[in-house]
Amino acid sequence: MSNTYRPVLWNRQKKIYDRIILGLVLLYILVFAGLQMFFFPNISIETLIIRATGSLAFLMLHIVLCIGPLSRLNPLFLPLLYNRRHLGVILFLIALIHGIFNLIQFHALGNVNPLLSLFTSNTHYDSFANFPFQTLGFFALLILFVMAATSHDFWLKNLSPKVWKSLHMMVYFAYALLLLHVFLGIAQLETAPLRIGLLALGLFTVSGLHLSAAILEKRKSQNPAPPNNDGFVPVC
Amino acid sequence: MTPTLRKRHYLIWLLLIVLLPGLLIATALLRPQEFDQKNLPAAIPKALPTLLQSKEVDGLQANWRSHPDGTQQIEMLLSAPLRYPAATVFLGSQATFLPSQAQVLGQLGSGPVYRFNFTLPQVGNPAWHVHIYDPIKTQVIATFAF
Repeated sequence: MSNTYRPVLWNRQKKIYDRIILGLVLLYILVFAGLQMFFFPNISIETLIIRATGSLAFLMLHIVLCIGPLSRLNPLFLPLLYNRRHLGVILFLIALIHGIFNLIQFHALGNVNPLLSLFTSNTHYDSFANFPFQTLGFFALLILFVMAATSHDFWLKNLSPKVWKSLHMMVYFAYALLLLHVFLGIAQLETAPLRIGLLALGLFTVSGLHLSAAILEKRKSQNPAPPNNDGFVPVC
Repeated sequence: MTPTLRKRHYLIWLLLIVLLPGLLIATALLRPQEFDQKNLPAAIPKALPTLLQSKEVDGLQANWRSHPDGTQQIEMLLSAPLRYPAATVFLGSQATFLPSQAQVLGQLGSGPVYRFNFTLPQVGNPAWHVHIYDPIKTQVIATFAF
């Protein structure tokens, strides 16, 4: 009897998880679109989609990054960890929509290939303040694509756990790229303190949770749990 | 989490916690303070009263206009948007376009009408040529002989 891989081993929990994610995604888009149309009545549909998908993908990335340490801090969050890869793939798809719309809106319909235009329309690679932020977003999307494409036990087995994990730890590099993408992009034009504050809060939350989980795990390793009366020692 | 992974996480987060807040503060401090007004298109001047000559080349019409006070104007009428992103209008005294010996009048974009006011240099009465030149592709798009 051989082992076969299936795209998704659906079960009840996964279906509930995905339905909740998709429901929340839809809710976010509706609320965001409503607020944007209220505050900016002349906004075009393309700008609305770009802003909605960009902000949603960024928010989802923060949530994905928080799930790991939260699960270590409190076992109540383990159900979120169980299907984190579903969240990650949906995050990539939303980010992809954001990227494609940006590419079409700002780089298509000219006499230059849109991808070439992405890298050559702003060539201030030697400047920090004017650094081409779209290039940062492009490479972050590339990393998210590789992660989404390999989010399956098939790749975990065939790439080897070491390579697979190394690939997926690039999420931290993608996170750094995306923070800079936002801070060198939209945050340069729209400087509302609330927006800057929320971005800083996101970074503080993710790094704070990772730090807290690290401290907790270090304490556990330094003070391992005593063996149970039956002689067994809990390991995980 | 294995000890190797834990160490890797530790090093990565050490780097992120040190670098990211610094970079983010730097983006706030180095934000351009002024919006570059030079990129905004100037208002199109009104057409001068006297139409001296009109020429047409490949769907581009160039009208030479003048005002009694001596001001000259080249009026460009585009029947279709140009497929050249950096079409620049030059005025030269030679039929062959030489960037160093031509006067820049302005740039053409996607609009239908452009007018460029200028005063003629005091160099006799040569036959003037208006050249539309793309500096990115380094090619002359059209030349109008007046």
